[in-house]
Parts: sequence; C-alpha cells; structure tokens
Amino acid sequence: MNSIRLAFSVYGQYIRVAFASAAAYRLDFFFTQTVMLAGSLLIPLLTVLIYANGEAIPGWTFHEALLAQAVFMLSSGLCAPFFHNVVWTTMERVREGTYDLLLLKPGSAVFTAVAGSFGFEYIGQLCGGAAMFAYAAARFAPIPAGGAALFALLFLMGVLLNLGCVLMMSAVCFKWVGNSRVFEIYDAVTLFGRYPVTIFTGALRAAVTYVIPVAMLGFFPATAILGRTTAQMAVAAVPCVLFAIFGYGLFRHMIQRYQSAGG
Amino acid sequence: MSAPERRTVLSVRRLTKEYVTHERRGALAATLKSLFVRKKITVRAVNNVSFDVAQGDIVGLIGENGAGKSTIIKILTGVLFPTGGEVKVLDFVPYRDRSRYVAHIGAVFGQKSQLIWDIPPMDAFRLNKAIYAIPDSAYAERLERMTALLGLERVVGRPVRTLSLGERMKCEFVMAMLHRPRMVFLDEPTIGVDLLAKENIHAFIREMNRDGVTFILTTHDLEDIEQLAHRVVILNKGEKVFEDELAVLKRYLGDKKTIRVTTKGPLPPAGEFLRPGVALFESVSEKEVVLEVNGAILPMSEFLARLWEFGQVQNISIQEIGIAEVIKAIYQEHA
Repeated sequence: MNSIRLAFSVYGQYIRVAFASAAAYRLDFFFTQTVMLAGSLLIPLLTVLIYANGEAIPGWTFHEALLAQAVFMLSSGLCAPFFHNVVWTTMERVREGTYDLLLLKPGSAVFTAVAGSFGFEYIGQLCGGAAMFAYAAARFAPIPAGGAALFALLFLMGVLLNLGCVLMMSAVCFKWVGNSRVFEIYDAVTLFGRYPVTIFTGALRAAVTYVIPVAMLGFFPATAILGRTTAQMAVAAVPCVLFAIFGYGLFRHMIQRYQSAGG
Repeated sequence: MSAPERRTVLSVRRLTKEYVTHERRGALAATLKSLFVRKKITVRAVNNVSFDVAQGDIVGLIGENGAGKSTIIKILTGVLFPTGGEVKVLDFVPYRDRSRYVAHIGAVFGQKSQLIWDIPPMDAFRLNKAIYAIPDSAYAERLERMTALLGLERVVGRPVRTLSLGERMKCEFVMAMLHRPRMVFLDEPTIGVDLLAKENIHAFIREMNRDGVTFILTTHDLEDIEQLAHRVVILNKGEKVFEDELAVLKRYLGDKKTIRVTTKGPLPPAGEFLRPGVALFESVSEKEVVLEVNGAILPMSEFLARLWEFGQVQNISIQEIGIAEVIKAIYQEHA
C-alpha cells in the first residue's frame, strides 16, 4: 500500500515538474494548448463532411460514428501526455548518454521512464478528446451501468495496447539508437482505430482486431456504450494485455543493453 | 593501540567492460559504404581492475581521457552492466540490485545535469524528496543546512538556465545528497567551475565526509585530488597502474624536489650544477633555472652548500614534486 502511495506521490511530482516546465514560457504554453485543442477537434471533420454530403459509414449513424471517433480521441488524448514522450525522451537520452540520470533514481526503471516523460504539452489534446467524448456520449445517455463498465474495461485495454506499443518502441531505441521514424509508423497504424472496423474487410479487419487491435482504441469501447458488444472484443483484449506485458518485459531487458556515452 | 579497521564498503574484483562500436574513415565513399556495411570493433574500456574502498574514505580515480574512469563509475552506480568481474557496494551488486541500491547512493556528473533547465532547482529538489520519500522535517533541515553550506539561499528559487555554472554545480550536490546517501560518486564535479566555487565545493565535500559519507571522485583537476582524496587509484588504458594513499603517491618518485634558482649575474655553464642527483628541469633565462634534485643520491644540504659556494645566488625556492609530474611519470612507465 505504501509503495502505491509513493508511486502516486512521485507521479504527482513529475506532473508538477512537467507543468512548471511547460509554464516557464507563457506564450508558448497557451499557444501550444490552443493548437493541440483545435487540432484534436478537427479529427472528426472528415466524418462530418461524409455525413453532410449524404454519405454514411454502413450501419453507423452520424452520432454513432462520431462516438467511435470521440472514444479514439479520448484514448489517444489520455495516452499522449502519459506515454507518448517516453519514446522521444528515451531516444534522446540514449543518444546523448543522459539515460544514466534516470537509472540513478530508485524504483522501477519502467515507472521512472514513463513518469519522467509526462508531456504537459498534450493536455490540450486530452481536453479536446474529453470534450468531444462528453458531447458524443451525451447523445446516448443514459448509458446502462453494464455498458459503462464494459466501456471502461475495453477502454483500459486500449490504454494497455498503447502503453505496450510505446514501451516496445522505446525499448528498440536502446539497440537502434536514433530510430526517429518509429513513432510515425505506429501513428499511421493507429489511424485505422479512428473508424468502425466494419468499413475494413478480410485480412485488414482481422489485423486491426486481433494482431494489433487498434479497434480497441475507439471502435470496441464505443460499441460497449451502444450495446453492440460481440465475442470478438473479448478475444481482442488478449493481445492488448500481451502487448503491455511484452512491452514491459522488452523495455526491462533492453535497458541492460544501454551503453551510455563517453565522458 | 592501532586504529580500528574500517569496514570495506566497496569492492571491485577483476572488473572488465567491453563494448562494441564501429569505425569508419572520413571519406565520402566510406560514409556511403557505412550505410550498408560497418566495421565493428570491440573496445575494452576497463581491463581486470580490482580495488577496495573503506567506509568514510575519499578515493580519487585518476586517468587520462579514455582511461576507463567514467565507465567504472557507471558500473559502480548500477548504470552499466560489466562484461566480467565482480562488484559489491554497500552489500549490493549495483547493476543487479539497481532499483534498491541507488536509494543509498548519490552521484554528481559534471557533464550531465539532474536539474531541470527551465525551472528553479527547488522544484527538482522537491521531486527528489518524493522519489526518495524524505520526510518533511528531514527535508527542510537538510535543505537548509546544504544551501547554507554552499551559499545557495538566494539561488534555489531562480530558473536553472539563469544560474552560473558554479551555482548549478552546487545545486547538483544538493540534488545528489538530499536523501543522505552513504556513498557518493563524483564524476568531474568541478569541471569549468571558478576558484571560489571550487573551494566552496571542496569544503562541502569535506563536511559531508566528516558525517561519514564515502566519496569516489574522478577528475582531471589534480587540485581536487590534493584537496580531498585520502587514497588514489590511477588508471591507464583501462588498467589499474597505481593504488595507494595520496601521501605514498607524492613520494612515488623518491625524495625529489624542484629548486628554482635565481642569480645576480649570468648562470655558469650547466655542468657546474649538473652532477649525479641533479637534473635540469627548465632553463628559464640566463639568470634563472629550475633543477630537480634527488635527495637519495645527493643530500639536499650538500646540494645547497655547493650552490652557496657559487656566491651569486639571489633567490632560492624549494618545492615538492607536484603530483602532476608523478602521475605523468607513472603513465610513462606504463606507456
């Protein structure tokens, strides 16, 4: 219990430090948050345009499609400040040899890597995701308790998938130093999670459901709110957990390969 | 009655560290070729090094660039895994027990900062307070003591980027020692720091050492070593070439002294002075010369008597051989 309280206290301090760093330059702080917020709110634009032109995603009303995207935005908005900087900070610190300083902190190296990379610049994205989700989910209120619980569980699976992928990408930075394009590949893959998987066919649908289940980032949790859950979702939860476990293990293993830099 | 034996808190046995890197020549063709094929080379940064450190010691690790000092420090702090050998510090194997071990040590890396560039050091101190779970009262007491010792009272609230190098380095010491570590590793802690700040840092280290903290220090600044170290380990190309008390290092070249002689008129030919036990160190001008006298061959009283016979001496200054000369001689022996 004490170690959990300590972990929360340390995480809180890292967030405070990230806020203080971001707030050091006030104009940049406000400008960044505004751009992030506006940028995230533009994500559903394509869906709005599709439905405004009388087209539709088969089997999905406008508000249902918007909900799937809003869940995706909430998921990526939540993961951005908490995880995304881990890749960049690991890459930079490994290249410069300053990862030493993180390894000098007691406790789990994975925890320190994640907590120490909190990105306050993404708070605007989180706010945008939360606002869009609140707007989209309100259309389907009241959400039954079972649906809400299932939504929370599936949403958590999406977060685990994100965390696992981020840890894996960060872990490879210990071996392939300066692997700066890796995150863009991941970003491109997760784009498939923005839309209902029903628009994909065959192997692609299987890939986004079971191989890299990006459907868990938006579509599956949204269907829980809509009460359209299927057995597929339970199966897709398994690779999400495996991604998190594998990412954690790989990161811990690859830290041993860390070579630092010359003095 | 002999002094009580001090406990060994750090033990290094046959430590070896190799790493693989690649090399290429400078030409464009070689750069293009390196996109596809790279020549890998294995560098042995540390080779079969053993030494011990007792509780409360200040041990200096000295060596040229690339001698392996920083690599050893990184292994001792649990940052790097060794290729071979055994290391035990405070009853931990640093690289294996890293997450628990590092709670008992501190480190200051002169070229890597633990402070956060855009915000005041105080924020980073608070972060360490949370990480090391330092109780409020202990934190306040230690922070007050350390900032007073280092003269940082008016500094800790200003953004790090506005501080001078000396102020930043002093804040690094606070950062490294707030959790009251039993052992502290210092890797070039005074690099680029001015004289007054350096004196302040030396005094701080001595004060902490009096509290029982053991220090391992690597530096190119021999003043750090002379001011602080009790013992010295000298490394050359990854191998240990000397390990003993600082006083023993100073006597390493025997009973030698450098003597600067200034005369009223031109000096006589070198042969007048140079005899067994006397060597010309530097000929400054026609009226000034620096000689190196080996007391084991020519007693100092005899040398001075001969010098006096010359009758033209205006000034004499006698100095111990500096440790820089001693270390240079040790490197040359092992070249």
